[in-house]
Amino acid sequence: MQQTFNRSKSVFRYAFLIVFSLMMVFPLIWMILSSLKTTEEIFAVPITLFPETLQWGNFSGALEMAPFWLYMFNSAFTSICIVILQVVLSSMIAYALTQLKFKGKSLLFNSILITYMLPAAATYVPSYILLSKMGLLDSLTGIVVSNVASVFTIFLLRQAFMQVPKEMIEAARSEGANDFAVLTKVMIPMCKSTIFIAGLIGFVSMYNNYLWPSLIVKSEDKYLITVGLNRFFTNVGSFADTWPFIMAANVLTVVPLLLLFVLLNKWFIKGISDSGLKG
Amino acid sequence: MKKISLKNITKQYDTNQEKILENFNLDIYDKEFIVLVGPSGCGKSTTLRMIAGLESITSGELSINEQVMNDVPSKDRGIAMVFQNYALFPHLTVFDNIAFGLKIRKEDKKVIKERVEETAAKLGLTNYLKRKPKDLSGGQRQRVALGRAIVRNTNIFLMDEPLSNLDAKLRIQMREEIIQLHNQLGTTTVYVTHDQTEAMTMASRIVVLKDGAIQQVGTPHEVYMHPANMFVASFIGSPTINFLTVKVTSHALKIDEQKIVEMPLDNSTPNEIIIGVRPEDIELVSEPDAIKLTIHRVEMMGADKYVYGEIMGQKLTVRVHNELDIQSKQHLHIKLNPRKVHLFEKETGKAIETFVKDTVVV
Repeated sequence: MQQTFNRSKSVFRYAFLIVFSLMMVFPLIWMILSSLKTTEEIFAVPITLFPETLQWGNFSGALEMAPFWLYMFNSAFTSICIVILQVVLSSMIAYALTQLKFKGKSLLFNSILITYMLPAAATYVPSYILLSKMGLLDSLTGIVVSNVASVFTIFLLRQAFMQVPKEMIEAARSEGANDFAVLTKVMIPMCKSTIFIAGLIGFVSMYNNYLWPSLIVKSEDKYLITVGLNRFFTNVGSFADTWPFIMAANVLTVVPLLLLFVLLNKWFIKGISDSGLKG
Repeated sequence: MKKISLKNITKQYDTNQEKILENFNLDIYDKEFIVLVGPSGCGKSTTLRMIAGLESITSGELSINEQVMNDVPSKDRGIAMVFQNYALFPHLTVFDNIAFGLKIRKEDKKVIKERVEETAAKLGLTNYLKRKPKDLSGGQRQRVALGRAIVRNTNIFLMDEPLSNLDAKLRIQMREEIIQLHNQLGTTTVYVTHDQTEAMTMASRIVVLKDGAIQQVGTPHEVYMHPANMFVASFIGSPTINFLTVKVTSHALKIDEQKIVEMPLDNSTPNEIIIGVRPEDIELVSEPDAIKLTIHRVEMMGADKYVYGEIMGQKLTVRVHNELDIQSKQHLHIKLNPRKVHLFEKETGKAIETFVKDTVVV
């Protein structure tokens, strides 16, 4: 009796999960399939799921219409720079927050957390003014500089650093390590999985970042992929015959992230479950 | 030569909180093996950590090699510390763990290699140098931790319960190895433990602590034979010493008018005192007028049996030889040897020294 109840419960649970997983993944599948269809197939009624012949030409067509490779390079390049700087700076702050004793430590930590509560849009105007005074508008440097501080990374690393057993740090100290050595020789190596995850999540969110870069970058050769994609979409217009190209461009954009996820999905899942946070 | 000296050391985490340690005075001499022993929370680890520089000193003066060290950072104190849970770096190999301190000090690579290999050979770790700590057994991990301390040639070792994570058998073996290392290297060692057996077997001098105050400092023989108070008497020795509340008369100590032991005491002795008798110091006799011990329980320990019982309503443990058949008996007759009886003031628990000496004559 109990067993049949449990069984029907788990059947229900799986059915629920499958339906919602399909709902989540369907747009992605639809995008990939559409990138290989003709316009007629995309708009066909009734809906056809698979293209009759695979239209690989859509990809070369899309690449001819806009320099997507350049956009992708800009995105990847700024994301990597940002991630490196974020990790370096955040680990230093997290070290101070967990290991050093100073006045106003909790005040500092709380004010860092409070900035996380602020809607990002609220900081756009002051950030824009700051960047313009620094002469960094419309430059990749500007994108990097304006993103180097990440509250999420600081928080994640602080939590990880707090897990490092006190004796390890004390052992290092009595062996002659100063703060810098404790950070680089003990804390960072011991938390490398968290740091890796922080970097990964940082990379993905920077690669996907749209609104802020779209505000500060004006010249086409500095477009990030997100901005480039949007301009492409608006420039060519959403006329029916460009849909396959738009879809192909989207697929190109997403491929690096998908590859990253396929290769490192273990780490993504670990990152989300370890930190108890959604990235 | 005074190696480490603690003068009026006091430790308090917060001004409103209780003092962890108060007016702690101790001189540790070159090549000594000092064991700080006491129940948890007695301040023994705090003392060690203050010597190591991992804990600040609220007031008082700490000197190492005759130099005041209160504000000198840990790394410059010339000490090596071994932790209870080994504190090995999980991301480093055994070699790198041992070499950690040398690398931090930017020693020559060749020198590091030589010294680490030499240390590993001393500790039987040569075949494990490439392994990570997680692939080692508890005993091997502890050896790596010792190696990390030895390799820098410091002459002060601070050890914080280094054996308490090991199983009983290994603990005895490592105990032996640590003493050998100590003798071989001629270091000054301060060792913290809550285990009185470790204290008794390893120490050149024992420091018994309770509630942040020193109860007694002495050789294992001294603290066992002449405990300064009831706490020391009960803490050192296994099974625990027996305490009996007795009335003092001119020639003997009595419980409820029954004579327990003959002992001529002078008039200044209070009317009621507490005597301490170790379970191994109680004699079994066959005279029927001797003290009758009612047996409650017998524990077979191997070489000995522990007999738990009571005399006139007061609990008493006796250690007897294992061949003695007492399983079937309900009573034993016992006798106390006046020379082996420790006297304590009832109110303060302090040893009544003068009489300890007097009784030796009897």
